[in-house]
Amino acid sequence: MTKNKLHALIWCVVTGLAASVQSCVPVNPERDTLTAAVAISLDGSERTLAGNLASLGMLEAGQGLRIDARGDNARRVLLLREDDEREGVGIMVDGALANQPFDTVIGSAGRHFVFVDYDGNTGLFAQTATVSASLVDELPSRSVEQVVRVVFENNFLTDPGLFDPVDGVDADRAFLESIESVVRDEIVSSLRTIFADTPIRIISENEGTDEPLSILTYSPQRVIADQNDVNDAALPPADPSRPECQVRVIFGEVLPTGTEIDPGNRIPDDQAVVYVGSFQGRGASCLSSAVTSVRSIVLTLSQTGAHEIGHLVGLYHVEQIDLMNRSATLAFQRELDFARGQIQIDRLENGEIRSEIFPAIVQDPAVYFESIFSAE
Amino acid sequence: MTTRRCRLICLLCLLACVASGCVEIVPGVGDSAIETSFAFTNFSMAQYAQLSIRRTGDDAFVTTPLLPPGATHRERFLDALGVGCPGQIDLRVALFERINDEVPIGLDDGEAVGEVPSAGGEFLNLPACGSVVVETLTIVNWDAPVGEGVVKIGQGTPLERVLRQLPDFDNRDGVWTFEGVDDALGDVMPEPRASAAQINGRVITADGTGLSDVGVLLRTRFRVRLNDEDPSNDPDAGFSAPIALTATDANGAFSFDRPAGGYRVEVFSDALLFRPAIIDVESPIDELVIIAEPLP
Ligand SMILES: [Zn+2]
Repeated sequence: MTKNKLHALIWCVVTGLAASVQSCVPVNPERDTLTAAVAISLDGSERTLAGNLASLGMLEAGQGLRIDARGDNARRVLLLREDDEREGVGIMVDGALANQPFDTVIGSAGRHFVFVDYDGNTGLFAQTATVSASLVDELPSRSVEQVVRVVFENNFLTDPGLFDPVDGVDADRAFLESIESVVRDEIVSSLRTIFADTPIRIISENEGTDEPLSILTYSPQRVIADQNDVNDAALPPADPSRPECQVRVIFGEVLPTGTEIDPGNRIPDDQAVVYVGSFQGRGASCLSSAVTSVRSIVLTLSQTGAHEIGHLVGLYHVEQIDLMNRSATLAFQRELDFARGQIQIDRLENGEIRSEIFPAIVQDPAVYFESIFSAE
Repeated sequence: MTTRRCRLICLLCLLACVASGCVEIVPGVGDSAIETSFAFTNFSMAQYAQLSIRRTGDDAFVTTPLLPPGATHRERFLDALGVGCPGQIDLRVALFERINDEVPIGLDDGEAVGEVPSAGGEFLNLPACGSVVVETLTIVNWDAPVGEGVVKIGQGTPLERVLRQLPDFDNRDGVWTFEGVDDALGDVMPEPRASAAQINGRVITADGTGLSDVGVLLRTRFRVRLNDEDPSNDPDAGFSAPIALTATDANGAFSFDRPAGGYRVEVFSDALLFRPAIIDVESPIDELVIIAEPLP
């Protein structure tokens, strides 16, 4: 594949009822179908893969499978099942980190595929891995649910939190302090609503559980992104007329920094953080939509938290307007869903980080949760 | 080796791709592999609207519910048309007048409309994913005199630039306009009204105590034209007269049942100060919290 083809199509997002927020991401046109997948047999023999996709053929519900994908640049492995809705498209049904075998149980019958996700700075010609797959008798146990405890650090709204360091006055700080308890309760309530019909159970700081739990922390910090943090290089600068507002900050991340995603939710006690201070406005020229009302504060912080929880259980970014869209500005606007979307992967190219859509790889949280969690 | 970090990066005030020139526009008719959606919005002040849509070349149109002012219908192309992102589309927009137009919409039981359109237009072979892929193709019915239709498509996206090159969109606002009812829509009837989606809220003090008997009213969003900075013909866009009115209950809670869309919620009381008293929202809304404190 040539780089020209990589840039053959640009993809834009638009949302909102009036003013539009957009991002531009190139689509990889040669990866828009599963037909390019290399077939591998289920006898444990290794097959070299140049590219991302291997076909496992038809598998039946209840079959146990061990998959081992290794490569210097391989970082994650996804199991896909051919989509019922569209030919040539695979739905993510499980995953794991690369370079270690993992076991999975086939949830529904169908043609299955392995997708190898390479490290972002891997050139296309270095995207090679050895993949093996075999049937196993002993089925791995899967948990019924994932518990997530939501923790708020002291003064998460004011230190600096959402306090405007330019125009903020004591009365503003006092107001933010006064609503801290309401905002805390509303965020927990909102997260419970977002995950109500999923195997993800949200608990507050005061609630106990015997199960392993992930932790989502709301930190008051404002965190500036460094040069190598993933950014959408296709995006134009924010607003050339207001250079003072073009500060790239980080809204949230899975910890430790660089973890990104827990594919297949293999780590039941991982952690993520939302940096509340990164949402603050700074003076009259750098107002933030996030802080215009309690409504927008709760909407923004809860939806950003839901996005990070999505990563904790293995969800990727999708390009569709969704809770798993990377653009945090979407979280300001309306209540978003966890819905079907085509995954977006960031990679470094000539020193620039570019996001790429894989049209053949679909993430549907409902299908994924049903597959990676046990029903009873 | 560069460390990659998956962090949610601030993309404050993103500008449209149009402005950046980062989009390659290649006219075409082919479908795209990307799965996208369309959103039909009715920003008329008084007329009801419905959209019929099909992939160019297909036989049957799919029609949205009848949208009252302010409402939006969002749907994936895959669900509506069986294709992820159609290369070209055909559209029909039909507008219907209210029968009981002296009553605020929210108090009008049944919200009856005329049996035939007051205006209706058809547009065939509209460029879509074959030219530019936008995640949500917005089709917005603007406010217009009865008997006329003004429809803005793809506002703020690269598609808008493509459409402005077509004769039908070669006007100040880059809109598709029609008068009367196109023959193709001669037998169009109003669809069932869009189902309600709640706007739930609470008015509380900072310590979480609910405040009862606070007045709450609802307005719908409208648009007449793009902002033209000409004050002699304002407003270009705004919110309607109140369409519904309620008061908070003993727990400070209130609720409106209106189809999903763009609304303004306002709270009022002689004894309270609100932070803020006016909130513009896109519904449905699970919980809209408004903080109040006694007037000094
Ligand atoms: Zn993310």
